[in-house]
Amino acid sequence: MTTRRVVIDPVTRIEGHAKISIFLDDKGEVSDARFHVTEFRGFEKFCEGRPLGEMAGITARICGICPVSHLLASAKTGDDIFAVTIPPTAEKLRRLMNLGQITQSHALSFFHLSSPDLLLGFDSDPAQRNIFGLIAKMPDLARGGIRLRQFGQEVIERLGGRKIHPAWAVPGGVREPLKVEDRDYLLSRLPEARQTTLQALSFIKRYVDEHQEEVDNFGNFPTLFLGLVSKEGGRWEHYDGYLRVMDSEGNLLVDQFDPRRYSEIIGEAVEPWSYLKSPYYKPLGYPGGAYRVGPLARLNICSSIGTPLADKELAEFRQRGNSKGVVLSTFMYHYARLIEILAALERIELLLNDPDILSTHVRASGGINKLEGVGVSEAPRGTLFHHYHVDRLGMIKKVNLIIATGQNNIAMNRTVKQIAQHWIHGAVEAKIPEGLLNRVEAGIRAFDPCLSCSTHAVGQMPLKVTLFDAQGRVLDEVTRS
Amino acid sequence: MRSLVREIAAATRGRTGTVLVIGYGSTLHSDDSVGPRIAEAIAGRGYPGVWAQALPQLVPELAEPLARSRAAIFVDAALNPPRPHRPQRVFGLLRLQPSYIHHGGSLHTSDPRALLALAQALYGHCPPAWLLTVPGENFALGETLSAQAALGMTQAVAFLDRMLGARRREKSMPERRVSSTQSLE
Repeated sequence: MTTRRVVIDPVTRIEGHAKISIFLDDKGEVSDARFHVTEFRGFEKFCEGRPLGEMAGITARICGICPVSHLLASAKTGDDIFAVTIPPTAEKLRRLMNLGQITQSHALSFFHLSSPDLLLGFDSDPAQRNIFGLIAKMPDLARGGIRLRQFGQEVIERLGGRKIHPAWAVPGGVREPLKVEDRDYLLSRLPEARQTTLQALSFIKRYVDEHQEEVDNFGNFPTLFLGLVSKEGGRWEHYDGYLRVMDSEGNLLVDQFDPRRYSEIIGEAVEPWSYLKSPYYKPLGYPGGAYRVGPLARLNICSSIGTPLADKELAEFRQRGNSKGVVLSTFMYHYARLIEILAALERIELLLNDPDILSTHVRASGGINKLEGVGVSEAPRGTLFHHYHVDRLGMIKKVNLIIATGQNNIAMNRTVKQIAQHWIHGAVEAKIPEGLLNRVEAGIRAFDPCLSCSTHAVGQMPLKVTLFDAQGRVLDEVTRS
Repeated sequence: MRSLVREIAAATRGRTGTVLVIGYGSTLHSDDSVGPRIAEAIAGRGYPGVWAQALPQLVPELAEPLARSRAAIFVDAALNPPRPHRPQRVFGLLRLQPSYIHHGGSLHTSDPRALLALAQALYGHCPPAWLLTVPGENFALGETLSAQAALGMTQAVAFLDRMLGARRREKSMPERRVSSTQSLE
């Protein structure tokens, strides 16, 4: 057999990398596929010995993609250790910032990273299958997507300032209130953001209906779904509330569960081929307790969203699910992301029009009243857990972070395997077409993983796709930096 | 250093808008923080017509201010490969051209060349731009610079001070072509 190897070396200073390995049997059929991350974790140790008050600022610096998520989860952990209830306006402002984060992060994922596949085709010329191809084909949508992300960033900046990592949320509340001119500016930007989102929703619905094979074989399998829902009514939630776990038939396995008790229901498995931990639902064991988090999970587990436009979209979304209205295909993360942007925009408008939002009472004082605290919020990619132990002086003794990307690890592996098995056949001698490898990679992209969050690596990682034959020899390899 | 300052001034002569200084990198990974540190140092100078921003990474919405700017200096850390029998570089400067092939593809990363191309594609214009790199030797978790990166930062800030402070004084300098790579040794 001829062994072929194609390597495109990325120019990078990063030693670790993310990798998809596809294993073929003697007939050239896919026997297995894995998503691995090869980078050591060391961040939790790095935090030990630091003052609690620094943690929000430090954890926000883990990652350039979702600093706000860590900021808020860390501040909430501090609230728990202080044993304080933060002022109502502080909670509203934190929510506002998180909604800005969800908007900007989802917009980046959809418009920059994923829509070129959808608009230009998985098999289209890879040189064109990017944001530039999108600009050439649909300039208004591309520009709108960038401005939508910019709006989300502006929400964050108007609250936290233009600092590299806004250490704005702190245990007990937030450092600064919202200014009236910032509120008015953000309100003025909402109509355009909403219009762009509705256009994109119209597109994704059409795409899903016209590409049923793609959707049906793109990580379409039963798993559990986990996330936060509101304490009253089990509605869509992004900042606080109760943990809910639902199975693929819509049965609630866990409900009204205090997220601070997460360790009672979530275990963390480690596989020898990846440094990314694999959390699972303990009562069902590993890997049977695989669950998904993030936009798809949040839309599956909630009773409703609570705002009119997003609820209308949610009802239509669920019609594309199984007989119980549960949507299983990983592809639908894209669709779910757009509904969540719409939900975020509606909630941003509600918050900005709340007279209390301009109150200057935004911080409660407190001290070390507990030696252990847990803070849980919904990051764009899914539920984020921060768990700290401190000494009586508030110095960190132990840290555990459970990151959304890790919680999707088992599902990401199943997704790449399903996509590879559906699309790659008889590959013993033939080179795998780039479009097929792109589909496999797109299975990971649908989860929008944040690898720097998951592994705390420096910068960003290249993603390598490698194809092995039955003897373990490399047949093909493509690296994207 | 003086010739580089002149060359940058010449390349931006007659253009309007701000000069962007964008330093990027992780502030938790030792020498990787040198880009944001330099941007923050420049921001602290308060130069008129200069917008310095420290970022963990490049983001697509920078395309819009880039399109409106007079010039852009991206500042990043770089690996410092051993160069036997040659003195260590203190910092490097590379003239950038827009290039969409450096788009990050499926990940969240971006590249200054791709950002320039994005500005060109979306807004019809991108400024003359350079990448200033400061070699580092330690990229592990940490919040201090190695001696190598600290020296590079000092020299790079001095260079930017000279360039940004000298912009108005350089108006009459004759135009010269900037070479593709230059470093101060």
